[in-house]
Amino acid sequence: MVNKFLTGFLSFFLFISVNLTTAPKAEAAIGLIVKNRTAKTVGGIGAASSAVVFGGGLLLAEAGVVTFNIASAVLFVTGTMFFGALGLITLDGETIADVEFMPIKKTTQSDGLTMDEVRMYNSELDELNAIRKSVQTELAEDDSSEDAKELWNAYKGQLHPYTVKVAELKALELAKKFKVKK
Amino acid sequence: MKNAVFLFLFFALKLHAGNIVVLTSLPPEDARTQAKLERIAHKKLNTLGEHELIIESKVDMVSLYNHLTDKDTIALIWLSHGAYTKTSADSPMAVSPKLLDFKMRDLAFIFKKIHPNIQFLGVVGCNSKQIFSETNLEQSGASIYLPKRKIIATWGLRRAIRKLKRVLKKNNAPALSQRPILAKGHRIDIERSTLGEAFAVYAGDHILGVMPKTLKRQSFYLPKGLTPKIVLKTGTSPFSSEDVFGDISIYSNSGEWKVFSKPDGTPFGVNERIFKLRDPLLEGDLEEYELFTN
Repeated sequence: MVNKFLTGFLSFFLFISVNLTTAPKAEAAIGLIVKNRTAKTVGGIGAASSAVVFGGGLLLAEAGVVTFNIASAVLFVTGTMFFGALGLITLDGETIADVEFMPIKKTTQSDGLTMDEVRMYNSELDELNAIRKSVQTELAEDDSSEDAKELWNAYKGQLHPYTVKVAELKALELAKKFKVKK
Repeated sequence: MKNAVFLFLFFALKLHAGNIVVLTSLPPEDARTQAKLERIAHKKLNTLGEHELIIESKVDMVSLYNHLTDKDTIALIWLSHGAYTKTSADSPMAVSPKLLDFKMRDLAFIFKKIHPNIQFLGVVGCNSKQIFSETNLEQSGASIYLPKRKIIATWGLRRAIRKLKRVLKKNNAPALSQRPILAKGHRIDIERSTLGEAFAVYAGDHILGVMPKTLKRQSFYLPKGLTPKIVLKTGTSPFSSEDVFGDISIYSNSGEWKVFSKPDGTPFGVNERIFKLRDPLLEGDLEEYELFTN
């Protein structure tokens, strides 16, 4: 039976002119989790190294693959850091998922984005994800989301304003779909 | 005289029968499985006598790229771990799927360039089909084998070999084309001050080539019509703190390439580099080059 989990508030900060508010929530210092050498990662190095031996044969996949069923938000998360260029989801306190920005293939009127904005965002995806990775590695063990926000603010000027706008909106949009397990 | 002609034709055909390549890239702790896979490959593929069988282990991106772009490769099977996390199709953020070599470096992107002589390509890793869902491997013209679920290594290899044999039998061993495939592009030279890890060189969705760890300078060609942005990738984990690039510079006739960097000049990214050209590419700077060289 799937345990119901309480909806928590996501703690992140917005730094664009859009008038959105956040509800603060204490969360594990993201820097600590990123720097934890024993942390398992989903979709990456740590997970694959724990390959499962199945029936005497080697299974060529990560153990404990987590399914992101975003549409119905049945993902168990213990914390998120989701804003701007930072996309990290912590699962079970020791497994982290490195979530990248992906190309936007189509846009609808409800997105509130113009074709030019989407085109610019798509053309700067490499740069956006490079900044994202840099922010992750620069965070110290005891850094918080405020520190991550400061880094993002320092670097976002290297991107076109359209890219910044789209990235921040999309990160917020996605973050809202997660329910946080207490 | 007739015997001499016969022998000449026999060896000529054998020379051009092509290579069947089996590449494995599993980490050290999977050594027993590694050995088992090699035994299976030898046993099942040595019977195809007219083709040369090449089996390599602990394969990195350089060797993979070389075999994928080799005009003598007629069939290639790759075995490694795969990492895939399902997300909604319309999600703007996702965990990107990875195909991992023996040092857990992602090299799924190396499969973007496949020589048209390759008739069969099998990528045996869990959820390979999903890992390559955005890359149209069939475009190369090869028959493709991609497991769509988690797969046991030995089962996957046996299935890939069965399909490989069916494909080769059906195609009835056409002669490999030895004609160079030419294209037009802008030459760029990449130079590094110290030797480091190998990296792949990208522009948009195109892989331009791979720079081996033993080279300090190498030329590549940016295909005509592409945006002048070059991305260099080692495939190492974004959580790895060790930067393996050192100082890298890119030169071309069109001007200076600048690295995408922080205000203090430190490059952005972890074990990757993004370079952009300050000025537009010179149209008169196009050269003809061979698309597949290794």
